Amino acid sequence: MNKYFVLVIIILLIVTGGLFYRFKLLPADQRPVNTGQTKEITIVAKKNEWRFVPGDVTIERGDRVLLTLVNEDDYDHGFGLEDFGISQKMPALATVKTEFVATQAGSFTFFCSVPCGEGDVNGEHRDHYDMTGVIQVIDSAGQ
Amino acid sequence: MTKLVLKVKGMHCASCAVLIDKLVGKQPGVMAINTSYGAEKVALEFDEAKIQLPQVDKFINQLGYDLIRPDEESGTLEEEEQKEAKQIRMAFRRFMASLGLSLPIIVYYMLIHMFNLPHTHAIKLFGHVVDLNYIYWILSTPIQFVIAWPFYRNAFTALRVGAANMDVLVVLGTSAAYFYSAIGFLFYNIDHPFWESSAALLTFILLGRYVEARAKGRASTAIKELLKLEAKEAHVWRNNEEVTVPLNEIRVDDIVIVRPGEKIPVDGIIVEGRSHIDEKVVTGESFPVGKSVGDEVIGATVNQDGLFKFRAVKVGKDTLLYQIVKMVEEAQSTKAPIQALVDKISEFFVPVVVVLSVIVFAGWVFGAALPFSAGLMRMIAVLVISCPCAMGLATPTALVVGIGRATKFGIILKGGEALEKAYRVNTIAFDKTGTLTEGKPVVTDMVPVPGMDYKEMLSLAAALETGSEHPLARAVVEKGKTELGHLPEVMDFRALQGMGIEGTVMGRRAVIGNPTIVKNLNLDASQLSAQYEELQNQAKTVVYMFLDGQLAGIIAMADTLKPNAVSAIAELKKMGKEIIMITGDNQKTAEAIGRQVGIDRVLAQVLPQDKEKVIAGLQAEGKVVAMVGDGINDSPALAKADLGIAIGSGTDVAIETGEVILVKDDLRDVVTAIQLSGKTIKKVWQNLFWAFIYNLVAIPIAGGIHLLITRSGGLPATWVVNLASYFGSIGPAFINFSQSSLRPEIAGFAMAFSSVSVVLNSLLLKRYVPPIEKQVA
Repeated sequence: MNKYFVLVIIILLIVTGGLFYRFKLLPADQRPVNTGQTKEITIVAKKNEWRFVPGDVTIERGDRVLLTLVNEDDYDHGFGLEDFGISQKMPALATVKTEFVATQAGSFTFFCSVPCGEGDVNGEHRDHYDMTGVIQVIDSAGQ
Repeated sequence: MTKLVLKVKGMHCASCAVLIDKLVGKQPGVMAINTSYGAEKVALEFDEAKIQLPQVDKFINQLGYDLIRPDEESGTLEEEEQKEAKQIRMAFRRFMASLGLSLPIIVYYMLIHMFNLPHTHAIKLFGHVVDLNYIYWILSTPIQFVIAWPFYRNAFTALRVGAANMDVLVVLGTSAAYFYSAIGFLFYNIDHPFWESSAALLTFILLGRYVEARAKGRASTAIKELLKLEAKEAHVWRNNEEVTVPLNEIRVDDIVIVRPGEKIPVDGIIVEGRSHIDEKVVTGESFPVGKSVGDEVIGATVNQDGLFKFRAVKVGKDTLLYQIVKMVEEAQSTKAPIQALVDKISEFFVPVVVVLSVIVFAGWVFGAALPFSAGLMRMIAVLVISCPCAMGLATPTALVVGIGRATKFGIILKGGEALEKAYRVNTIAFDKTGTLTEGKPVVTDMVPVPGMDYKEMLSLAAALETGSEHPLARAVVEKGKTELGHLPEVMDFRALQGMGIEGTVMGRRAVIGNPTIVKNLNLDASQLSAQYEELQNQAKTVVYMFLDGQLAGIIAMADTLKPNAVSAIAELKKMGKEIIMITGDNQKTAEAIGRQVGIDRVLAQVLPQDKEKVIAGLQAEGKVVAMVGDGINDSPALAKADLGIAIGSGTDVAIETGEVILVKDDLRDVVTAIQLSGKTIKKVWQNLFWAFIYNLVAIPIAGGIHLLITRSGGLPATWVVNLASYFGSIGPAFINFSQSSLRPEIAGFAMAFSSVSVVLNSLLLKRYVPPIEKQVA
């Protein structure tokens, strides 16, 4: 039982330390912001282009983003925006919706998280790994 | 206070034994308890005034195990064998069922992830489009909870006793993968469930368990072999007539009659008659012992040539044979089991992984103030990747190759524990007779008086000895037959009780005998007295031969060393092992043999019951002791020693008790067994390294810890971009991986590479040739 006691203590220490940091020490400009504003964004996986369109999205910090993910391909894609805990399957020829709150400012990469092959697009060779994009979260209020 | 060794049924993992010890040991009145998982036995010491056996039984029952009380009959040999065969069959079925269910998942995921294939995660069934995940869910649920149920059960038991063995790690990793996949798929439309991770892992581990079960030797049936030795019935003198009664009806003070060739039923003292008795089974000594009125006889030994009557002194459970049975039982049940390497690793790996996953969660959610789901995903990823697929294969594959290799060289290793112990051994105790020596006398010297022809002497001596059944006589006959082929005939043969034999060969009066005969017949043997003494000092049995009243020569006989004993001992010494010889023989003979073979530490006149104590004493000195023996009298010592090595030509009991069996009877195989064990255990370590390394490297990736250095301001760091430009076409892939945490490609990569590395590494062991074999070639 001793071992469990030690383990629980360690876990409690980590969590308490984390909570203490989060609510006491975290610099004000890094604390999550939620303005309640909603913003609708649609990101499309273009047919046989291995490309998200738009590949660059700009939003305001604190926005509640309603994300519509459209897959034009007849095979599956995935949408990974790990920093906001988004990890969605984009089934073939389907549209899925998800949402997140952009609590932090900065650039956040999203990528296709389901292997989807490769091909030539207008003379350019593209594949699954080229299928990335960036979400810019701008903190205009905090400036 | 009562001391008992009882059978326990229903234990399914090593932790069960710990659990029983821990909980039953706490009961007031229980002084000591030691449960052995391997032997399915519990050695119990308790105070009858404070606790009764039925209460102990009840406690053990509550824990889910079954104590077989002395009044309940235990299973027979066949039942045990059937049970074991059933276990192997079950292990195989589990593996096949798991393989069948998981193969579609594994193949599909492997192909897609490894080769980056575009795919639609759905199939058309009866006109409906069905998401493949539903099928995976249906396939992997029975694997997780039905086929892999024993893992949950074992993990639960292990956790109850505060241990974190391999099962705990397996349950942790696969449950994380399964629940993440099932809940994520059903409710959150996650992009990549880890179905294949849990299914493949469990299948691999079940394969490992099956392979291990097959490699394991049969359970110890030593005790049953011992009991087979008992005489079944006895001739007892009652009411002035001889009656034949079953063994258990002999009472103390009964007069028992034993005819030539019969087994002596119980222990006692001779009251009439004389004979030679083969006590090899009990004492290990090769020469039959001459016994007459007043001498002790031991049950289960074999009467050779005379008819005698003895008074029963010890019957039933008091006989020496039963004492040996009890010693074997106790030694087996109190033997400390060796913790499997993978369990040892898990023991500290599991808490580390748990703490790490919490750190990852806290780091992202509290430190970086990201959403809860972002932290949870990475935390789960850490748990999923922490359990290596090939972990369950690391030990069994190395063991199978190692054990297979050993079998090629005539060494049978009973399971992995034997290997692991063999490699730790630093002290080796040898039994003398039958182990270091052949165990039967041969003629070593034949010294004719000057003027006497050697061949003539041998011919006459061998001819005369054909009349005798004594083993020493057989040695002379054998020598004569091999050297001369044909022997003359003997007439008027007569045995002179306790002195020798006489007869007429080719018209000459021949006498062979010991010094008593010289005195009694008033013969003159002074001519060769110097040689006689010298041979006797070499611990040989020496007899005189007279022809027509004149000394013709002397014949010396002794037990000889086995062909490779000397080189084997020398090799073991070179390896830095301490060598000890234990024998029941007298100091002089023991030392003579010790000198010949090169052993410095000789323990002579050790009673059969005490061999085990000698081993225990050596263990108390902190030594890891291997015992090499062949006799029944060696079996308690074989059981007690950290490693029991039985000689293949030895008794069944020794073979059953030993964990290593040298089939070829060649002592150099002790060297090979130890070396090969070392090699195999090293392989296991290497395998565990290969099994864990890919996953270890992947843990920080799963936790997203690498992102701290591969990103700056949310975008790929400059060094990552620069590095990627060198990679050409796979540059984007590198950037991509560097910017995300655990992706199924990484999980699949770790799975495939660790398994392949482990299997290939194990196969390398096939190239091992023992150095000793090389010398011969």
